[in-house]
Amino acid sequence: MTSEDSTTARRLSTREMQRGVAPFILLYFVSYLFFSHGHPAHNSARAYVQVGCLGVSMVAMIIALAVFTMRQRDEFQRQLLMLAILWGLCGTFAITTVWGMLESLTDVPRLPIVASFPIFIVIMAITKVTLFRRNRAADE
Amino acid sequence: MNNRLRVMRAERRWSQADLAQRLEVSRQSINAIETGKYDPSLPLAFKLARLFETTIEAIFTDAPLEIE
Repeated sequence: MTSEDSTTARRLSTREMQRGVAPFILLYFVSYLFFSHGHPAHNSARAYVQVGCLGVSMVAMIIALAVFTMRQRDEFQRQLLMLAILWGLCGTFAITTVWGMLESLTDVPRLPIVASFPIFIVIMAITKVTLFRRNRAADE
Repeated sequence: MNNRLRVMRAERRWSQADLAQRLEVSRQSINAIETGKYDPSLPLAFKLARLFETTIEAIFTDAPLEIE
């Protein structure tokens, strides 16, 4: 990051991102500690807790993204983020739909439904990086 | 949408970073507006007009810009 990038908007944006992501990071470490030390011994109970923690973490991540988007003061960056989210959603729909058709018609392995969220995150991240690189401030 | 932002900024000897700082947006946004990649919202256009002590129409136009 150059000194020119450290505008007030950038600092605010970074602060909001840190605030937004904090619940997700906290939940991640709490669930990590839980499974490292005090996890339930019974397999099904462990699976329930694992799925619950995963679900809560995903919801926390979605909330973090929503809060960050709402509080983002820089409208251009917000627009880029919204575009990335849209690409993520559309890409996930496209991949899961095509894969579902392949599952119906061919012998491809079943795509687990829990994979849809990571697919969304990966597509969104790739799109976000691409959009921000394409629209980065050129030299004056 | 065309705009005279780059010219008006140059008249005041402000860099993109200076203008970004005053508007509380990123330099990336200023660059996108100047190059016509992005049309700002009405609140940001008003903010720009107030900063340059002029009207929105003096900064933005839908007609082709004359080369100064």
